[in-house]
Amino acid sequence: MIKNVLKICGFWVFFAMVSSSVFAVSVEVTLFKKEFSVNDQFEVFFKVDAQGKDINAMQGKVDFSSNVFSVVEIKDGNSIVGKWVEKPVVSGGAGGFLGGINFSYIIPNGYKGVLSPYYGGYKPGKMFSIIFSAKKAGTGYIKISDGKAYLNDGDATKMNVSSNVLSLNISAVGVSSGGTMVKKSSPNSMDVLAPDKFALVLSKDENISEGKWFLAFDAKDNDSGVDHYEVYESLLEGYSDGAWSEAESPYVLKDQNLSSYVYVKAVDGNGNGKVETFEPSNIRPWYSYFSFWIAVVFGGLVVFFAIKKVRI
Amino acid sequence: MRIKKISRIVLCVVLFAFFVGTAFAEESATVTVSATVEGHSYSSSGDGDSGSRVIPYVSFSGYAYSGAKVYVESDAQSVAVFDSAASGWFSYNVYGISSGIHNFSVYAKDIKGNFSKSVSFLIDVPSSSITNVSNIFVPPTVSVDKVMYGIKEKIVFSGYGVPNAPVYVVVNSFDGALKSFSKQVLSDSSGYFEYVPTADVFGYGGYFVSARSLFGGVFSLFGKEVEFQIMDRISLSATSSKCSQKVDLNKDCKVDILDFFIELKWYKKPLKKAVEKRFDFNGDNKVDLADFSMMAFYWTR
Repeated sequence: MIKNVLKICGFWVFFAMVSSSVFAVSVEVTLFKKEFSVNDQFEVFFKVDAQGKDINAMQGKVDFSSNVFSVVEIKDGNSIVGKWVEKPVVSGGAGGFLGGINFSYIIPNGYKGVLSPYYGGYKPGKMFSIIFSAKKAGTGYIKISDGKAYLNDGDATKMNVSSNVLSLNISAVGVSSGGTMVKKSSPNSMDVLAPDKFALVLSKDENISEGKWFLAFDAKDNDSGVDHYEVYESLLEGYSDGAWSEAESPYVLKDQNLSSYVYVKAVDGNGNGKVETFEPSNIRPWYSYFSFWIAVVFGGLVVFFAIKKVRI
Repeated sequence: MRIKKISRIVLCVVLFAFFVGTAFAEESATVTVSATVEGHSYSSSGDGDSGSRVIPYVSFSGYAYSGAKVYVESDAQSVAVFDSAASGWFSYNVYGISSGIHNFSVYAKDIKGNFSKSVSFLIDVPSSSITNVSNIFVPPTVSVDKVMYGIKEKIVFSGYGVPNAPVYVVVNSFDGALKSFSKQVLSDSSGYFEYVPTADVFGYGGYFVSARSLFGGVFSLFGKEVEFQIMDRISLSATSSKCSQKVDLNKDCKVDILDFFIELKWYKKPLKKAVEKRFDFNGDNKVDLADFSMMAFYWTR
């Protein structure tokens, strides 16, 4: 009898394990070709299959054979990611990777997959892609490890994340025919469109800016992704090309009187920029400008000396 | 011997069926409505005689409430605001959406000024097609007439949903003592519905209420949760906050990018002072992605 119970329990555990792995959220690590030569560059896509669940957050690590590959660039354009909590970044210098690339993000109001007019139902959506460079002949792998996803249920119910292991054969120089290789010199040369329009949200908060006024913004670019932001503050309307300085969101305003025009430029991976303007909400009166009084004094002196000369 | 074997197999099958059934139970209860996306391509070059060039657009249609303001956002940027018809039906074409993946949100404001929860979907918008997003079902709004009640007082739950359709008003307690008290009411021709129980139906404690509509055999998503408390007379003098959602960190009654940046400042940082515990939404003494997940669930506009 005990034997029978154990057998049944065994079956139960087996089915539970099989079933739970089927229900887990998965990340597909894909590319079109799997054979490359040394010095080839190739783009690997990381797509999320929610497996019918409604998730709103995910974290994990891109693991890869750092002795075979190096990371050239991470692209997050045309992505399902709503807000990066921890944006994946290329670090450790060219080809000098130990460990992996961490990432975490949220998708406000949830994600079941990507809809499209070209197919029915949901399909896996890209969270980012990575351009790798093959630096040595041999076999290397790329996968997602330590993955966790959270259900869009208000309780942050945790889900396991599974991933396939992408195995690539790198041959000696000249063997590969190219295929899906990416040219290093111009990875985003096809991107001619600026990022989409974006909102500038003015606020002040003790926790963000010690009570000072700041602007929050978050732009989206569906080609090469937003690379960085630049800001220009001026009492006068308009901006010139050389006046910008790099900034991050949230940006604490230099002019806390809100008397300045603030221009925020989102720049994509190919250098295309989209500028949004925050207009001064507290325009200063003309007599409050120092430059105005200098002009008055200078003008007065000119008139004074002109009259004096005429009298002489 | 054979009977024993058969009964063992049957038991295993039953156990497996139970497990699979349990796994899918939540699914069938929570999956309510989404949008149907269709499209058709067009020829971008007008040939002079046969007609003009068609500009691609994304069309949104579905049901909200009578005379509601319907808002459409693309990646948290407002792209359209329009009115729904008296029947609750709406349809609107949005031009100028770039191709690629966009996170669209559709929500509504009822005639009393209450906002609904967003219905969101990620769509891969093609560059050369008209994209139709249909069957959007905006969840009902719900509000309470006060935030604190005495045990003998009447509570007025009211809101707007699809006109002339059943609405399920669901009350849950914070501590889990009351699990999903549900009451079905019918909305009138404007979509207005009301349910007025006395507080003793629920008993003392903190509660939240939300609602969902049933229309055409399909449930909407649950709407926003609204909190209320039932207290004794002594405690009724206690103050209450209008924006009581714990993930609304700056208390502006919205959960948006500003709350996100505040929370981000505490990500993976130790919480030393008692006042800093408010950044830990799930009470596990750390700020991690689970807290951001809770924020993403309550994200408004």
